[in-house]
Amino acid sequence: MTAALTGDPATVPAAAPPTALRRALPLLAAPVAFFVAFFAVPMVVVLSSSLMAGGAPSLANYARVLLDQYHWDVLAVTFRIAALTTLAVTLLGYPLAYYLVRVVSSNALRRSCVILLLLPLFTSNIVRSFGWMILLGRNGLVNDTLVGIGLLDRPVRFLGTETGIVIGLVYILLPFIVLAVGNALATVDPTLEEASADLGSSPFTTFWTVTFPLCLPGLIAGVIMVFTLAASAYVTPALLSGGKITVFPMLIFQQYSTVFDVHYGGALSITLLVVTLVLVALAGRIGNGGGNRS
Amino acid sequence: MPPALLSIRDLGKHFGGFHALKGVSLEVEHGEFIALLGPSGCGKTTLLRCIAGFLTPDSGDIRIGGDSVTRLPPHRRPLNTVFQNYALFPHMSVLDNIAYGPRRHGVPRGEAAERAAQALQLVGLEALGARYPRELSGGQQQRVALARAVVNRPKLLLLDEPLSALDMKLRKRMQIELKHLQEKLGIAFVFVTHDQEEAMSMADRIVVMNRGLIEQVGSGTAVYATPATRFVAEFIGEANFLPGAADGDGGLRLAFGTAAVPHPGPGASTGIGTGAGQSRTGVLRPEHLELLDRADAPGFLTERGIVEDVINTGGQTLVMVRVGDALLASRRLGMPGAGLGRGTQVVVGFRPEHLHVVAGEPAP
Amino acid sequence: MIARILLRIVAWAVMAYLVLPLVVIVGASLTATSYLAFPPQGLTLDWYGRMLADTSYVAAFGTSTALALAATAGAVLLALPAALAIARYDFPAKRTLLSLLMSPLVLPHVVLGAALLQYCAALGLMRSFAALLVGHVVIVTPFVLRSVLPQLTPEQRALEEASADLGARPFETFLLVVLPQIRGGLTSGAIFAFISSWINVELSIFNTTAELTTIPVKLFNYVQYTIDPVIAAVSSITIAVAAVTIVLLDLTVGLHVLSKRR
Repeated sequence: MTAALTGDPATVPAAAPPTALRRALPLLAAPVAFFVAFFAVPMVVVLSSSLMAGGAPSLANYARVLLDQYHWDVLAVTFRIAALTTLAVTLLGYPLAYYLVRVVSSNALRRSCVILLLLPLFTSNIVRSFGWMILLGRNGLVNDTLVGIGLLDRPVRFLGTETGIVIGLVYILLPFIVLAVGNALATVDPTLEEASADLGSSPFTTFWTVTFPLCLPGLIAGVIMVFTLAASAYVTPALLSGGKITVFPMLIFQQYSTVFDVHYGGALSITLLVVTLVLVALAGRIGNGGGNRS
Repeated sequence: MPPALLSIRDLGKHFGGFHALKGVSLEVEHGEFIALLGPSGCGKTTLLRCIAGFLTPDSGDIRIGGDSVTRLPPHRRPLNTVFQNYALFPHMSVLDNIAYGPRRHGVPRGEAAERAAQALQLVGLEALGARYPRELSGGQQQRVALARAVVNRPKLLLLDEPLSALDMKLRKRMQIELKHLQEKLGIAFVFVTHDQEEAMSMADRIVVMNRGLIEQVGSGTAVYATPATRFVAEFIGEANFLPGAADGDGGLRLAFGTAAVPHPGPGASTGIGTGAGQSRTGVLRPEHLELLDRADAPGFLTERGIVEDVINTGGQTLVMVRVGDALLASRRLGMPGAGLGRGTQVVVGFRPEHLHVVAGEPAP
Repeated sequence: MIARILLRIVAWAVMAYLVLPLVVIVGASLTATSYLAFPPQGLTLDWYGRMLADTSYVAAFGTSTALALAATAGAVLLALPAALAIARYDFPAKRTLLSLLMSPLVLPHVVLGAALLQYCAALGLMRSFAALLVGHVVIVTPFVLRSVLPQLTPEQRALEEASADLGARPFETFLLVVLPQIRGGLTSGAIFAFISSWINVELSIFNTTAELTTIPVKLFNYVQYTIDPVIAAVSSITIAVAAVTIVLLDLTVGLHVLSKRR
């Protein structure tokens, strides 16, 4: 996924630039025109609206966003949920990916598991969150079971708590990390692990010194993807918050759908975008500094 | 008598319905250079992987220095491996790759680095320690893999076609270097290859394998001059095959004229029956089939033939001669002489002691 | 050994976690009670009947399907030439262009939806099928691009040269050599594009109305006020669509994820 994102096309011995551009242009005209018209320009419109107040250029909208403690609180909740979700997804998804790629020897079983992994991925957020609404309700299956086996004395409230939202988001984002890590694991050359064992490493040491570092790029790509999706999720928090918790994307939605204040809404959008991109860039930098130069 | 360094008994291994090893036994002494030679699918790599511990055999036993290692995981076995594709860790520098083994054996960081540097010096790459594997040429990667495998000073080194990825010139040079290094370190090498020339030029003993079985174990000279089976004769070097059968009186009737060859004659392997009608194959190396100027040359069995082709292979000349139904090859030093061309009538012959006889018919 | 057993337990627990909500929804859609119950109490298909009787659901299914098909077609028409240009020619700012085309993958959909609402309002397209469509094309094009691009390899280029050498015109080469070679990537990219459009809420929600709405948006608006087994029935249908899509993916290009690439 990252390869495509950062631009790593199969570079073919190509024609010299001026000729190349002349030949590429007919192919590129339609896609570029479309993306400029319906992607780049709308984003620029949002940006420029956010920089206008009362008909004149102004930073007033950003002041309104950034000087209000409420927004900082919402941001904190949003990114706390995103961070917890990412952590949980990694801790649950990594073992599953490792199990599916390295332990399962039957192709039929692996294939069935891949189908079960894709099934939620191909189902709408709303449907999946709806499933959790049923499960996490006061008299839902989760509470019934926990009370039934004696772990709880009485039903706990999940809906309307950050825990509930995290449970829902983890569920939605888990397949992403399993696929990212699993595909990275599948490309690690098994003879490298054999070489490690041959040189005296126990399986445990081999995992930490060879396997894990080699699939770190896949893990980082997955983590970044999950984090951005968790931070920008709207549907799942909206359904599982029960109106009691607000995350940043909800603020944006309110401004555009009910208040229709494109200036203030624009400033909110740009803020979310910038904070997310900064965190992603930081994560990428830490990942690259982690010693993996391959 | 102290136990052999490596002792393999009746090793069997199958993958599904495919029997990769069908009862293989072999002993390797300290400091020996053994080549496992055979076509692809003969079981040589499976055998090597069983010794290294990457595969668990279905039956049989592997002992190192008298102790069974059959059930030990690879990291507990006192040996190291040079992999076919080198298997250098791409996320570690050359020095870290080499220091990896000592670190795993509890050697402190500083001393491990020192040992790695020494090993790197041994292969002549002391200047490249800080590089990453992908920044090295194929030959350099090969040497790093070697340094990494010998840094722990194992008694036994396994090499899985380590030179197959190199071009021919470099391969020849590495063959010599590898042989010198082996003698210098006194480590026993078990070297898998499908290149008979490589095996001949390097190994003390060659183990020729086919279809999961060992066909012959012997020096390069022995497997070339006295192949134990038809397969070995076909696989090692070039040979003319003369089909024939035992005549029941200790003689052999060959499809080379009507000559009766004494059997068992000089150079014949023992242990094959002499019952009448049992098929035999005479193995005659091209250098032993000579072009003669007369049909009654003393000590030779001769026949008349017609030259079909004269091939100059640089320093040697190969003459293909049609004798009856058979097309036979004769090789001699020097350039093709004048007057020898397609269609020339010639007399070819060999000394009976150069004929080596094995059981069975030649492959079609 | 203990680590292995532990790994197995965690892996199966996570698999169960992945499947549980879907099982619950399908189960709840079959309950005979008028409220959601799992395990279902009694079995009935009444709720599916009610869903079919409600023309607004049928209309929303129609809109969703038309939108997903049109968005996929648009994405293929845009991504295919872009991929060919990117793989073949070394023109200036190639990486920037690729980043532009791929960035909808990481951009928050809420932000893009809001931007398109404002922009389409200015163009007079607000809350129309066209407004929905352009947004969906933007977010699903990266899926097609991402799966086609790796298949346009240097080896592939050699085949094209061979075709040209044998006298094929560029269009013939494309049709007879390039297209068959990249068919797998194109198919899986198109299937991912289709499903991504079909399940989208966060982008669509801005440009839908009570009359013009997609299934996920309709469910979203409904679930916030009422929860009844009809919702579970509609959700079950979308799960079935997902299952059919995956089977289609497996039958056409095969599920190669998590297995070694050769």
